[in-house]
Order: sequence, then C-alpha cells, then structure tokens
Amino acid sequence: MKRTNPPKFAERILSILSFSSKIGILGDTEEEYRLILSKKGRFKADMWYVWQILKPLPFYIRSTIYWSYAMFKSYLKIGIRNLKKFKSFTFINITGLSIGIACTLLIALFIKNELSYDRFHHKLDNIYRLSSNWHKPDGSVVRYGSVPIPMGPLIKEYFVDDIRFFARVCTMEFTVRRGDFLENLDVTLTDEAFFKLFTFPLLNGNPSHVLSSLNSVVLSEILAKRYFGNENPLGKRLTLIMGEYRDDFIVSAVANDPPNNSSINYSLLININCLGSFRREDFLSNWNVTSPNWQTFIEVMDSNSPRRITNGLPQFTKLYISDQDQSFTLQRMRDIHFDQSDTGTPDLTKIYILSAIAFFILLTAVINFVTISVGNASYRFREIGIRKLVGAKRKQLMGQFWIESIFITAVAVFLAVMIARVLLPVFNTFTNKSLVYSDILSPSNIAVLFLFTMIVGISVGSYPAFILSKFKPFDLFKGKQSLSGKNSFTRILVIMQFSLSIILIVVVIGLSRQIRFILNDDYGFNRENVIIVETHKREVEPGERLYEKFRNRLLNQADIIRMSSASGSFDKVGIGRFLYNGHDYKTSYMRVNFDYFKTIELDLVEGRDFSHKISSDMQALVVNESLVQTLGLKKAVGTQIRYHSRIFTIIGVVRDSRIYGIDTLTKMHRYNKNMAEHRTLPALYYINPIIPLRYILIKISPYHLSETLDRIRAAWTELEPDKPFSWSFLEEDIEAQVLDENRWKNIVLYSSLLAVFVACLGVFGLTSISVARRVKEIGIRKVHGATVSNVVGLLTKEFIKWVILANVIAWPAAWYVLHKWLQNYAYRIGISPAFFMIAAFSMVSVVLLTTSALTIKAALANPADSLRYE
Amino acid sequence: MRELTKAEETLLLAVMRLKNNAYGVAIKRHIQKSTGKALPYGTLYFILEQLTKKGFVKRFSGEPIPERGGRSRIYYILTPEGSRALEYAYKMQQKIWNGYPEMTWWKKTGK
Repeated sequence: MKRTNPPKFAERILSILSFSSKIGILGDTEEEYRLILSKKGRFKADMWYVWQILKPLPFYIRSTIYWSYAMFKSYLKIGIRNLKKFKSFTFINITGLSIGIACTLLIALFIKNELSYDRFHHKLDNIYRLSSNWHKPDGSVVRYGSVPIPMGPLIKEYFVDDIRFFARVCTMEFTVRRGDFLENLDVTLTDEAFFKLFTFPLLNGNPSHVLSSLNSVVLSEILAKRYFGNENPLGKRLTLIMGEYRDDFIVSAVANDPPNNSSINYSLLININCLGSFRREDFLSNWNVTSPNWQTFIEVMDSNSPRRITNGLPQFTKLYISDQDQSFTLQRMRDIHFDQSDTGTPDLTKIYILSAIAFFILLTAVINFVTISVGNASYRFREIGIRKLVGAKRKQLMGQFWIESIFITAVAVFLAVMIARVLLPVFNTFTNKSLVYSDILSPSNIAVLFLFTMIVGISVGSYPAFILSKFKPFDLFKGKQSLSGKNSFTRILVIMQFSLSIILIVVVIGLSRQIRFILNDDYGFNRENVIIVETHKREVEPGERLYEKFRNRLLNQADIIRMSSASGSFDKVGIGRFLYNGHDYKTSYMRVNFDYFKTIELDLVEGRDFSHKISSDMQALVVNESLVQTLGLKKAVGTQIRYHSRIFTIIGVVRDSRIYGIDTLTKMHRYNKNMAEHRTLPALYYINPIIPLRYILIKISPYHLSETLDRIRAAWTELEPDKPFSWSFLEEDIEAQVLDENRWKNIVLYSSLLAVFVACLGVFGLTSISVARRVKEIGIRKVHGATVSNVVGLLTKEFIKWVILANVIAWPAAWYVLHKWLQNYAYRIGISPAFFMIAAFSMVSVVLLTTSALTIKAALANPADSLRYE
Repeated sequence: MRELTKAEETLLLAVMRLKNNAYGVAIKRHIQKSTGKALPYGTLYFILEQLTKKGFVKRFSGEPIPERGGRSRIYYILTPEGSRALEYAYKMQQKIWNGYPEMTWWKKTGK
C-alpha cells in the first residue's frame, strides 16, 4: 500500500514548531498534503510539507532566542540586584565556594596526574616489569619490584619468542665532571633497547643506537643545558667518576626530559655494561642482590606471551637460583605506579584523604550556600509572592534561583582558578609534584569546570528553588511561612560542617604531636653541631687515607673540637649477621674510628672505648645495650663473637642510640615483626678497617660557623678536587626523616583552617539570619527585662548545642582516623583526651567569636527601634 | 468596541462566508482565492485564537477523520459579537473611504 500520510519525522518537527493549536495545524497540514498528493504526486507533496517546516523556522529560532534572552536578562538583573542587596551573604557564598572549588581543583589536578602515570608509553600494554616474591616462613609474601641484575639478558634468551626487548633500569650515584663543573648525580644505567621500549622521544639520534656503544651517554634536556648551555652537546666529552675509577663518555643524543608523570626518571643514561670500566662487573653477575633502584622491564611479543612467560618462569628460575624462598613474576607497567612494594610510590590512602578533605571543604561551602539561600529566602517572600501573582510559573521561579546560583558559582569558579594559580607552587611543595598552571586551564579542564559550574549551580539552586516555588502567594504575603535555620535539614548540614572541622583539628594536633615526638625523642647521642661530610669512597684504602689527611689538616684548628669517621651515618647503616654460641643474630654494624663515641657523645655504660695504644683493639667490639640484652649476657665485656669470619672480643657497651629514622624502622617493622619492635636495634661497632669509611664526623663549636665551614670546604677542595663537597648537619639528617610528616601536617593544618573558616562563614550567615528574624522577639524580651547576656545566650545557645553534638559525632571518627594514621609509625604517641578537648574548646570559641559581633549588636539594640511598627 | 486589525477582519470575513465549513484548510484556501496571499497555518491559528479570546468566534472540533491522520477538524463559527464587530468595521470603512473615487483625478493626470 502506498503511503498517504506525510513522513513521521517531519510531522514531529512541525509539531515542535507549532506554537498554537497543535492539533489544528497538524491536521490541516496533513489534509492539504493529501490534496496535493492526489493532484500533483508524492514529490511535490513532500516538498510542500518540507517547505511548511522551513518557512517558520527562522522566526521560531529568532523568537525563542529573543524571549529566552529577555527572560535570562531579567533573571540576571534581578539576581545581581539581590546579590548586591545581601552583600554579606554574597561574600560568604562566593568566598566559601571559591575556596572549596580551588581545593577541589588542585586535588583533581593531583589525582589526574597520579592516574596519568606512565600512560604516555605507546607500548604500555606490552611492557612488563619483572618482580620478585619472597616467601617468608610464616607464609606471607613480600614483593619487590626488582630482580637480580643478570636476569635481564638471560630471560630474553630463554623466552626468545616471547620477549622482544628488555631494558634494565638501574640508578647509581656517580660524580660527573664537565670541565671544572663537578656534581654528584643519580645516573641511569640501562640497556640498548631503552628508547625503543619506552616512549621517551630523542631530540636527535637514532633510538636503536644511541646507547649501543659502551662509552656513549644520553643526556636529558635540562642536564644538557646545565652542562653545555647553548652549545651543541653532541660529541662532547663528560667524565664519570665512581670511587677510584673514572671513564670518559661521549654525548650521543639528547632526550626530552621525562614527563612529570613518569615512574622512570633519568637525567643521564649510560649503557649498563660499561660498569666494567668502574670495576663493578660483579653487579652484572650477582644473583644475590636486589634493590628497588634496579628494575628490569621487558616488552612482550603478543598478548599470549605474558601467560607463557609466567608459566615458564619457575623452570627458568631453577636454572639459576637454588633458593626456594624466591620466585619471580610479571607485573604490568600500567600497575607499577600504585604498587605499594616500591619505595617512593604514593600512598593511595593519602590520596583518598586529600580528596576527602577537598570534597568536604567544597561540601561545606555548598552547604553554606544552601542554608543561607533558604534562610535568606524569608527576605524574598514578597518578591516571590508578587512574581506568583503576576503569573510566574513554578518553572520560571526556579529559573530565577538557578540563574542566581549559577551566576554565583561562575564567579566562584573564576576566583577559584585564580586562587588555585596562586596556591599551585605551595601545593607543589606540599605534594612533591611539579604541576604547572597550564594544567589548570587545559581545554578538558575548562570543559569540566563549565560542567561543574552548571552542576553545582543547579544543585545548589535546586533546594531553595523547589521549596520556595511551592508556597502559595497568599501565605507568602501574610508571612505565614517560616524558613529558617531551624529546620532539620539545615541543622544536619551545619553539624556536619562542625564535625569535619573537629576531625581535622584533632588530626592536626595528633600529627604535630607525633612529629614533635619523633624529633625530640631521646636519640641517645648529641646531635648538635656535628657536621657529616661524605667521603664518596667505596673502597677501604682510599677512605682511610682521605680521613687521615683530612684529620691532620683540620683537627688542630680553632672551632673544630673533635673528629671521627664511620662507615655509616644516621639512617644509613647496614645490617649484617654474627654468630654467638652457634646461633645466628642480626645486627646493625658500623665500622667507626677512634673518638667516634666522644664525637657524638654516645656514653659508655660498661668497659672502655677503642684506644690507639692497644693493638688488640683491631679485634675488639663495642656493642650497644640491646645487643647485650638480645644475647642475654650477664657480663658483656670479654665475650667473644664471630663476625665477618673472625673472632671479636667485646670491650665496651654503649647506651642504646637511635640508628635508623622512623621510616626505616617502620619498614623493618612491616617486613619483620620480630625486629624493630623497639626503637633501637642491636648494634656493634668495630675499628678494624674491613669496610670503607663513608662519612667523616666533625664536632664544631657553635661560634664562627660560616668561617669554620669555609675552612672545611677549603680543605676538601684541596684534598679531593675531583669530588664535590657534600655535607650536612647531623641535626638536619634527623629532621629530614619527618619531612614527609611535616608536609602532611601542613596539608591537614591548612585544609583544616580552610574548613573551619568556611564553616564559620556559614555560621556567620546563619546567625545574621536568625538575628534578623528574631529582632522583635529580642525587643520584647528586653522590654520584659532580659539582660544583654540573656539575649546573647539565647542567640548562641543553639550553635553551642550544635557544636557539642558535632563533637560527639566527630570524636570517634577523629579517633579512628588518627589511630589509623599513627599505625604507620614504628613508635608513636598515645592518643590523649587532651587532643579532643583542645579541638572542642577551639571550635566553641571560634563559633562564639564568629557570632558574638552580631549577637551583641542585636542584644544592645534599643527595643524601641525594633518594636516601632507594632 | 475594539477595532479589528486588517488580518483579523479578513479572517473573520472568511469564517462568516464559509459558514459551517470554516476550518483551517478551507479558510486558508478561501483567503488565498480572494486575496491571492498564502497565509501560513501558524499565523492563521494565532489570529483565530486572538479572535476566540476576544469572543468574536467560537471554536469546536468535529469528528476525527482519516484524511487528517485521525485528528479532528477545528471549526470556527462567528458569534453575534463577531458579526457586530464586522458590521462596525464595515461602517467605519465606508466612513473612512467615503468619496474616495472622486478624489482619484490626480492619478489620471499624473500630478
């Protein structure tokens, strides 16, 4: 059958375009369509119908835009008038929102950066990292993101059909010399395939060959600029020095700097096989050592390869490792950034905490916005009533509120971008990131911000829009409706704000106490005025010689009180084993020099210190109290133990002192429950030069500090022109362990300040609304003899009640958060009730301060003024 | 009494002339025939609604019929107020145009 009616979609369009009498127009058009159809045929009829649609279209569009623009203009005009009229509310809303949005913006940037880690590699899905699993006797498994160095080439040979490339990525510290310029640098040792595997573009040179020669070096852009300025670095010479050995390298290419969302960082790359030039060939064949700094990556052939490799790995492992405790697995490149087994990876929980805080600040601001617009609406009853009387539909009233809130949000977003821009450097130092301003205003972000403005604007405007547009105009005029801070919705919102602020305050107090505790705890030695100089020596003889020369050069000078040297320094001490009575014990060990204990003022409790005069002291040990305790010795002095396949005799016992920083202790604690339960570990000290001296300790007098330092530096450059002078104060090294903690404390501190500030803005707004609403009530009360304090009490009672309730809610949550946080530390403070008291007290006083200005003003007002109209 | 606009006048006359058959298509065709101008339905209905509001015409819908895709025709019929308005308009017209033909001499001489 032939179609006799017009096309359906055309009819639909026509129906949208028809303003008046839809049925009539549609019917008539169809009837006429049929007439034309029967006379002139389908084509003509269809054309006619289309014409019917097209003809009114321009008019339709014009009028729609015109009227909606007119309406929009009116909404905006009235909205802006309202904003001007209620300046303090506008200020509160915009300030709160912009702070909240700025925080969210920064956190969003942070998270975006975190989530974008390593995503820029083209071959991302084919790149895997080899990692080791250590099966401990108690059944648990510890994973490290690294495997022994020799594994790379061997595994590639073994799975020749499944692995396309492999690249080991190891970092080691070298001294780099370019002319007179000297610095210590973490050098990346890798394999030829590095630039083929990873997407790190080269500015010049062929990715396949730049590292094939053993003495070629690839520089990052920054480094090339630092060493060569504007010269062309290609073909230029650099000297790398490690310990006593050195070799010349020729720059073969310059690579783009690694992006700030890369897990692999480099500044200077060399071929790992050149280690031979530094007499460190042993690294390339040592199966017994793994370190987080030595990673191995492979690129697989196809999607089935990972499975085949995983199945074949046990077989492969058996060829090289007899140890049953160790096995290897593949790990997707995609996952490594968030792998907790690595050092230096971000703690996901911290990201959660950050986002939660930002979200809560934003939420607080939004809550303020809602409570204030609802509370403030009583001022606008007349406006709404008249609008209704004149015939405004509910939709139109809601449009008014929406336009206002979207306008405010838009202003706030604009300000937020400014704030975020100003805060970005601070935020970067807090989070150890290098985000830049252009990240904020990327096209995708602008789109998100626009969407965000609409969503926040509409959702914030919705509550007042729905509530207020519901009332009947008559009630509005009679003032029957009361919308106030009294309804339960507002109450819940305000209590939520308070609770959040209290939780943050408690956490800040707890964190700063913990930091103070870590720093001020008894370390067992005197950290003051001790300078630590690194020797950069990796072998025994040169270290001894350097120290002797250095000592002779400096010791008799003024302001230099004492000197010694050691194989380790605070938080940089090795752990080894010794034998006693046939049992194996773990201990920290340090090769020290004469005067070591005197230099750091570590007291002997038993026996004596090492002495120049007694030659048998080469086989002597000084141990700490923990070691004595571990061995259960009654009388320590004279006891013999076997260490480094020699017999040593204990000649003295020193006090327990702190050897490791809290991070190291915590890690030991996590991996080995038996160890590090205490803040100190067994430790032994000897003077036998078995291992190189890495650190020189100089106790100086606190006067003429810079002159003394200059003299030490001069001595260094004279004796070691090849090595940079790297030094620090022992006190600095101790403070360095809480760097991260301090950063976190500051983040929480500032965000809690912001949260409290935004919450106070809300309280201020609510107070002014309730004061305005109760002007008459206050007047009547005063007439009946109420005192100023009565009235103030009346007005603040409610808020104080809320704060107390908020405390009750917040305390368990705060306790939980703080408790969880403190679990991260090997030793920690107890959570004291004082934290909660301080938080509660400060919250109450802040609320009282915020409200006092308004309430006292209201209480002092003359009742004659407020009751004038009655 | 409110004066009718030219378009209202035209439509009202059309409704009167079509008597019981005054609906969209018919009105449109009638106007096209008598004035040579095509009136779009949108305008037509808009004016008819104005007239309905003023009470000059009444609206009623007929039976749904298949030619209109199952929709009813919307018929309009003149009310007494409508015819009075037309009469008034006619008289006014005459008054305004009174003596017009005699004044057309300048047209012929071409000024």
